[in-house]
Amino acid sequence: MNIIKPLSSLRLTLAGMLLLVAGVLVSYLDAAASSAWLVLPLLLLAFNLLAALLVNPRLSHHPGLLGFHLCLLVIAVLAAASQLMLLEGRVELTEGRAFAAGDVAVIRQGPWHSREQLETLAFVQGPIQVEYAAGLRRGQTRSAILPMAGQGLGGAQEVGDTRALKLAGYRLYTTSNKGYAAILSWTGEDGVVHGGALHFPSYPRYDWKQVNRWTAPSGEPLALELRLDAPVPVDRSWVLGSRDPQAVLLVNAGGAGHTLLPGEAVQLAGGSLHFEGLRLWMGYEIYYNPFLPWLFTAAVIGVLALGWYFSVKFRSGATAVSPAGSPTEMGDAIPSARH
Amino acid sequence: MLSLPLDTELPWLMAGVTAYGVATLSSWHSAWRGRSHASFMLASLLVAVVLLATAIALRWMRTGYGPFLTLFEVLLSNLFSLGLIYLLVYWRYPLARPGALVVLPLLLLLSFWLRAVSPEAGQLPATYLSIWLWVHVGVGKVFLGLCLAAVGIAGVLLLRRLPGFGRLLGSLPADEVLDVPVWRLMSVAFIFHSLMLIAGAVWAQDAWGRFWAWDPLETWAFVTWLALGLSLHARLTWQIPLWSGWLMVLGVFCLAFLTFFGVPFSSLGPHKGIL
Repeated sequence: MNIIKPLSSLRLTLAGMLLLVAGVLVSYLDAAASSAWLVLPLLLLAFNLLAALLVNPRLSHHPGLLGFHLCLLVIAVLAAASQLMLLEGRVELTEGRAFAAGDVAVIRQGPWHSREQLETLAFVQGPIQVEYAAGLRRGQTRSAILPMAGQGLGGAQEVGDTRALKLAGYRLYTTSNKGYAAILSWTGEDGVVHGGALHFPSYPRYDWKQVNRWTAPSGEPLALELRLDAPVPVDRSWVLGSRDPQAVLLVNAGGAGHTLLPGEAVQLAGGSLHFEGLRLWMGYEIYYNPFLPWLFTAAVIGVLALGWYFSVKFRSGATAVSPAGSPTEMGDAIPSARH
Repeated sequence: MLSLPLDTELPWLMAGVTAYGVATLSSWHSAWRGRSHASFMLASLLVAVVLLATAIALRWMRTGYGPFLTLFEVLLSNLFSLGLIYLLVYWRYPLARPGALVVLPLLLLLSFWLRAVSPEAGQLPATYLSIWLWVHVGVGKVFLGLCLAAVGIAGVLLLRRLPGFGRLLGSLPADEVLDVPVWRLMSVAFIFHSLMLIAGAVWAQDAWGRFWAWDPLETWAFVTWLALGLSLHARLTWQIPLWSGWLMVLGVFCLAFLTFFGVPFSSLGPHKGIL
């Protein structure tokens, strides 16, 4: 009790808030700053609030005020729990190809998030369309997601912009990162066929360097360049679509150049390379946080509770923040200052 | 989208600003003469708000999107929303009326800034096509309007302490009386700021796949929220002199003003527009 009383001090609350403001500004000005600048003031405020909830009668006497502060505490706990469970990652998906968990580049993963859970996701990337207005201003993105058996997707879904694909607790968001993918197959001299999609840099952002490298199964390094017949339209609206554009694939193998149209193949050392066609790929951000709905609920309940508290206080004729016994706890009588 | 000339909305904007000017003169004349012009003030504010709403509607028809994107649009929509919220406060809460002496000149300053900004239209990013953007912007405007109304009263109270203003503003209610609406308005503003953060987080989750990423606008909005919470707690904790509380209110408003009108147009965060 001796510790709890000073820990519940409102002056400590003020100190904690000042420290948090300082921590936020340090983190803002220096992206490399330790997260301790935020975590320590938040911990101090959380313990301060917890202690105040236990011993401060002002909080417990007002259900609205109590509710607001309880919700703040719940939000802090849920935010901490989110760090343990969350997953943030990126993946590029090619039209007509299935999602593979192994392709996901993980950015952040909480220690309690199971990678096996991600492997339960199964769907196929459908057609992609991105609208552009004159001046290369990106408009709406439409990305079709096709279901696979047992995934709980009723049918094809269209996602894009503010519509995420929600599947097994994961959310997949389209991004501005998308481009062309060459569908290639390699037939070795032993007759074994390897197929895949080679993604070229984001389009139209990098329309001037549609190049990539790939090492064939025979071990031969290949330099590939995609040349589109039509330049990017900058003075009119247009749609980046999944229909094959007029394009050729330039293949450089050991200093020798080859030009392939969709459907054509070239014999190289150790096998033949078949350019089957051109598709689009879409870059997605993957997000998993099972506490999102609870964070939202706690925040809304907290604000409603505070609104209730203020309305009760205002009806009683006091300001919401009057110190006890202060001259501001009065009604709306209007004596004049008469300076 | 209609094919309207670039300056379609400007005459309506200027007429609205003129109405604000008339209301400003009226408020100071009222203080000088010691007489109430409340009905005339209400009428002037109503006319200004209607004219500005017409300007926004005409621009909307011309550009095909709401006033969310460019600095011109944000200033125009705030000139309207701040006026509307202040009109409601002025009408329903007579104790807050003395703040008009500060609020209306501030609105006029905002108008002058608006006239110095290019009215060129932008293009709304697809991520802005969300109902949560409306909620986020709407409650944010209510927050700023209430904060402005509070800062108006706090500003008048601080002005009254300056040499020369004491006699001019002496007929207004006593400090302790006018302090009440300052903190009531700030308390309600805190609720709307909280709602703005919640709605913004939902929108950010839908639009960019994260509800909070400490981008410049989020950071400064959070700092404003903390500063407001801090000032409410400081008022509760200490018997601070009234004037220091009013200075804190001014500080919170300055932070909010910076967050609304500075940060979005000086950073490259997602709020800026198309990526």
